[in-house]
Amino acid sequence: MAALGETEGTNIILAALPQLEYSFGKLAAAGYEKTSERTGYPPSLGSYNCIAWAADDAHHFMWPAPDLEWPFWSPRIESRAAFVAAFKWLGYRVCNNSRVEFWFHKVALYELAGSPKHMARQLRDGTWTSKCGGAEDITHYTLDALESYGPSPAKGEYGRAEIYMKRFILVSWAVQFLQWLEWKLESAWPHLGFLIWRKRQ
Amino acid sequence: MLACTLPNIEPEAGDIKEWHEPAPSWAMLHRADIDELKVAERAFARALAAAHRRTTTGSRIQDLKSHFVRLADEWSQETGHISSASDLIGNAKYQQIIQLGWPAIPYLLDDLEHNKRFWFPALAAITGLRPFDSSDASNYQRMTEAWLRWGRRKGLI
Repeated sequence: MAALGETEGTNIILAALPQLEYSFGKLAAAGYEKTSERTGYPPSLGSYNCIAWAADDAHHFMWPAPDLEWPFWSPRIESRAAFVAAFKWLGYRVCNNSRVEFWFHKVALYELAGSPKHMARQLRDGTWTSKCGGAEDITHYTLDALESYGPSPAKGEYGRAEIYMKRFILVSWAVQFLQWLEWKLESAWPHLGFLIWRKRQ
Repeated sequence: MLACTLPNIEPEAGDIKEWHEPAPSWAMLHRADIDELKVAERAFARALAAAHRRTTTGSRIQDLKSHFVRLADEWSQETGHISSASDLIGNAKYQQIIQLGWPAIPYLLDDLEHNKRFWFPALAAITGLRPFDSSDASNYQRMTEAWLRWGRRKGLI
């Protein structure tokens, strides 16, 4: 991809997504790559958000708010405990660092003033993938690339990565298979899939 | 004493008749035309007032629509990177759209249908309604269909 700020011998795209770079002051310096197009918000077809993306799910828009998708096993409360509970049943356990561990997949939860704002998922090479709201997916080379403290709406308000969770790689594969199966069933019989998402309204 | 003598003028029969029955004025001659003109004038005034009302209402509607479109576009721009539903709804532009109230409902429904933007909370906040079955919550397609169906039944779109 040709990019305005491309430097010789590297693939760092400095000016591909000026809107995101403006919102997240450290993003350009940290380096990132765009990995998808914009998806928008529900009810746009194919919309999903950072929480679903962190959970390896590109088919749902997960947030613990009324009328939005949220796993039935977690309370619909915008709190760290609810997010940890949602990911616990996907096989994740809280850990204390973001370092790459071969046998584990990791996710990070960003919080601002104690309120969850964003999640990112670690890739095998140690970089992170994020879905930024209704905007594009990006791979950012550091976790603090999305660190932001407002003021909204001009600047992002993700806060910083406060909680890390990891999942054993074999569990990941099993859960990913179940998620794939769930999506296939949900596509074929919409009512079946929504059993998972629509409870606890 | 001043003596005054008036000339002895004998009035003629035609003069007396003219004094008692003056010649019809222009207004009298054209009374029917004047009445007709007055009726036409009143009708014209009514038509003018109606046209003015229509124009004023039309421009108000146009103003509201352009105001909504501007707010909606600004909201989209400002929140493109946000995942938190409460931050999306808490955005000042979104709140201003909610404050537009019922007159904004047709535009919200139209935008929901064509641009598929996230108007469920705004619609619920303004109307106080959830026109879909509770088991369809989180099913965005069914929620959209339910809102649009409700809007059509209400004649809003």
